[in-house]
Amino acid sequence: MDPRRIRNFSIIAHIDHGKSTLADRLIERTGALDPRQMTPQVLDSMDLERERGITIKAQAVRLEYALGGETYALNLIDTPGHVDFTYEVSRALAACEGALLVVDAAQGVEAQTLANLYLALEHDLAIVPVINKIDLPNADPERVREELIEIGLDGTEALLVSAKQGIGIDQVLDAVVQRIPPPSGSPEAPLKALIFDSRFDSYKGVVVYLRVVDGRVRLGDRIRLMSTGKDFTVDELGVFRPHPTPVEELGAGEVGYLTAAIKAVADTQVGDTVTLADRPAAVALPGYRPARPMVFAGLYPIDSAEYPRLRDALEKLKLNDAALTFEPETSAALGFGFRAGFLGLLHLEVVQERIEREYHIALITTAPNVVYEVVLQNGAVRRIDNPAALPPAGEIREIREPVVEATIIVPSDYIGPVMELAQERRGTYQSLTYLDPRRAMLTYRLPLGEIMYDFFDQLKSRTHGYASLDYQFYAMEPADLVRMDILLNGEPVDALSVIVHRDRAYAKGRALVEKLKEVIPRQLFEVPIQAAVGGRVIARETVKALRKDVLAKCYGGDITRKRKLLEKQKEGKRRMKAVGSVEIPQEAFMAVLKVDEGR
Amino acid sequence: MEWGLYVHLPFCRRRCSYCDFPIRVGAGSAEMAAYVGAVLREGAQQRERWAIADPPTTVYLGGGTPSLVDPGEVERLLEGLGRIFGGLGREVTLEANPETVDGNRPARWRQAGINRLSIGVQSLDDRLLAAMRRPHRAAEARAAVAAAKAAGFENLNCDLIYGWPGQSLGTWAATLAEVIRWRPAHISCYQLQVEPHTPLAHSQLPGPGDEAEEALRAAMGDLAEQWLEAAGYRRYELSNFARPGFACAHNQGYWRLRPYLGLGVGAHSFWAGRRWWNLASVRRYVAALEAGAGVEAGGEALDPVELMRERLWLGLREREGVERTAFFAQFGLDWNQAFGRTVARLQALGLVVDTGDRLCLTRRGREVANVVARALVDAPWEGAEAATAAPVAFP
Repeated sequence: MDPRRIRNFSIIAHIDHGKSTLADRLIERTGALDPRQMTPQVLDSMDLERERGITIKAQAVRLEYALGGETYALNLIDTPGHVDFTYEVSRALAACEGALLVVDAAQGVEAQTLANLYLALEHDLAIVPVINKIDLPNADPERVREELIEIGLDGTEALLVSAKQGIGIDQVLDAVVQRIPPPSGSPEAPLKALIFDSRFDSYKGVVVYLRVVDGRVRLGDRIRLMSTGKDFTVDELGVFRPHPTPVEELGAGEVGYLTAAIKAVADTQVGDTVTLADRPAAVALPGYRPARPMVFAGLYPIDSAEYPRLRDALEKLKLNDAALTFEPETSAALGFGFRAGFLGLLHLEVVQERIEREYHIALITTAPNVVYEVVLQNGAVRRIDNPAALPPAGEIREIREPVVEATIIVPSDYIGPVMELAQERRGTYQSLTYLDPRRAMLTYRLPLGEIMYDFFDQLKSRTHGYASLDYQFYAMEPADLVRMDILLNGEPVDALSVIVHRDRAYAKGRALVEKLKEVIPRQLFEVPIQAAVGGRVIARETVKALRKDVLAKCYGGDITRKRKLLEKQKEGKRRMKAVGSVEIPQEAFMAVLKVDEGR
Repeated sequence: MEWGLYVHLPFCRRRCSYCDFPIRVGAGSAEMAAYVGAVLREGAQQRERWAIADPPTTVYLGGGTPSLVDPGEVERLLEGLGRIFGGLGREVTLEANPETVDGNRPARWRQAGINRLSIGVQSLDDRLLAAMRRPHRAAEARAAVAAAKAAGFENLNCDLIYGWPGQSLGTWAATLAEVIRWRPAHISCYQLQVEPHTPLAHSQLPGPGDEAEEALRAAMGDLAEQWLEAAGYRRYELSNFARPGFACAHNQGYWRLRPYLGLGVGAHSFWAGRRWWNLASVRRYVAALEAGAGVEAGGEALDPVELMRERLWLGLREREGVERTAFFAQFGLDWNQAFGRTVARLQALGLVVDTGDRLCLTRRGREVANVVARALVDAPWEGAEAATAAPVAFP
């Protein structure tokens, strides 16, 4: 296909600014789907994605659009909409020449708008600003235009659109053709194609989503994945319209998919380069890095007999999720399980939900933690992804934790509360700039461990919902960290250990034992709960023994009903894990995420 | 064969705030008479269905408020049942509300064959009685007990409820002390259970998890046990106290997994290893029986292993616990063969004790009997194949 009639573009936006609705309209308008086939948010195909209103996997769809007597192939590459998946976004953008930057006409520029814009600019994309939701009564396109100018865009070129009402859709399509440059790769050079996503299909194996940069790939070609050197034979090539439609070849500038009997998506990592085995490219496309989990948690079956099934479930999910890592782990408290690595908390929740929903395995998930680097006295550096595995204090020279650079956009009235919050979370102030007289952008460096749980909720509540947040990894930095152990009935429960800042240990310990007292049900005997640092108890609470638990009446007419009641109560107990002689519910392991240190 | 006959007489003047039983408010005497006729039809139906040759060991007329039914109808009912089943057994109980135990009624009940009266005293605190939406006050309870005694009822039970929201230890102690002075043969002390879908459950209540409230309820239970045992009443079941020789034989049948037939709306039956229950609506119940149809609304078949579990968790409600030879006679094996690990675990926790000839709750076990019951309701079966195939001693 003539690259001059191809346009590759993404839609980038802050959450809820209308990205998916705009995508739906573009698909509808170009007739890729007839309106009867449209379900809202066509591109979000996983149930979980629709339920949560977010895009977890990227997708690509080819739209045909005629303008000025020519028919153009417009490849819309959808991007994940969550901070956990920033790297995936960057690869999707790398497959494009331009992006529609969608901004809500009432909300204005938000943190993710900016983060995505900067990512797009890093890839030198042509930006088409789109002011969406102009039909809203509180829409203020003029103010949004000014904000766009403030962040370095030509606000006067912004398109006014209501995706919901179908207003301005043709103008958007025209702008894609006219303002986004065609791809510029060389059709004759050795094949170089960028993998921007892949998914596992139980019939075809891995379906690789790719953008051909140089050269061409044909059915039957022997291809090579440059990061691993593994070779495969292409057995299907196609484009999404949006249903998969086979083609004979994909040339420079085109976007589509291929299958090649590849067994696991781990072999087709996002960002990798596909080339031809018999005429390989000399260098791979830039920017590839293996998916690297930032957040770790222990996954344990409540019923230890389900351990093999849990392993199968994780292996199956891994087929479709290159970023998921897991290794067997043994906990004195929880038995056999896995230490699993995730891109972020959302990713963890998605995996956890899919294991419970699709594989029907009741899970205990330990509180997630970030990965630490521990420098030992002998100079050796170890990566620690489980607080229980932290070496004794005497062997440690230094502990480093991941720090992110966070961008927070907030009405100027709330700068104070936001700075307070960032301070509480051990943030280091970087900068403050005004987008307009009423809105400011704050940047802070913050330990990832301090913001991954409830920081966003706190931020929202302290700014009455007005703040938006985006962050990216900055560096591993040393900090004064200690391990806090939790003892139940005098026995340390390894799965409840957390790493905390030394200055915070006391407050956190207090709050944690209080929370645990709330969530651990009363047992036959009294259960002391203690928090300890380095063997010294710093906080204590007691769950009093169960005093009385009796059915007052049980006669002929009661027996069936009472038995069912007892069975139901028992079912509740089954959701708990027996640690020693103490039964602990899942909430206990998550208690650390929910403690309020009264700060 | 030993078995129990229960008849549900669902008629009430009003619904008490804690009640979740199938009852019928506002029925007239014609409806009650039609109902009694229907019950007799059901009795005949069941006798034929199961070819019952022996008369019942015990009869229990429960409700509802059976004492609200005209004594003439009670007489007709008992006479009819006696005819159908060839007798009424040694213990024939009628549940009565205090305000109905007056005039010549107690004497007529005795005449009809009732030899045990169970009076719903509940409390002697008028404010609590009002909160319970009981149709009587303390004075009527006092009069009722006196009238029952005067009519010659020796086997008298008083039902009491404790743990009512806002009830103090003092008011409970006062009720208890006075009832003990009356010297009834039997006293039942039920800790209030808030059942879902009752007016009480829908009213504003302090949370049940409150530690102080729970401690108070426990103290009320302890007080009852201490005072009643000291006064010569034995706590022969978790909520039931009796002077020697006056344990309720009918209720013991339930805990010992003896067969029983339940006649009337919503009544449950247990026969030949199967449990079933009747339609709850009086209108539909009467209509079905008048048309010669069945009145079963639902049921469940219990396999021998499930029956063994029930035998244990129900039997452990009795102070005597479960007798080893009785269990063996019923099931052809020992509980240690059936659920040895579960029983051993409960023993290790100090909740049950195996005395050699019986399995009983310990003192602590009686406080947390539900922990034991939960362990037993689905205790893993450990019996050998041969044992399950052994004949089960059931009708």
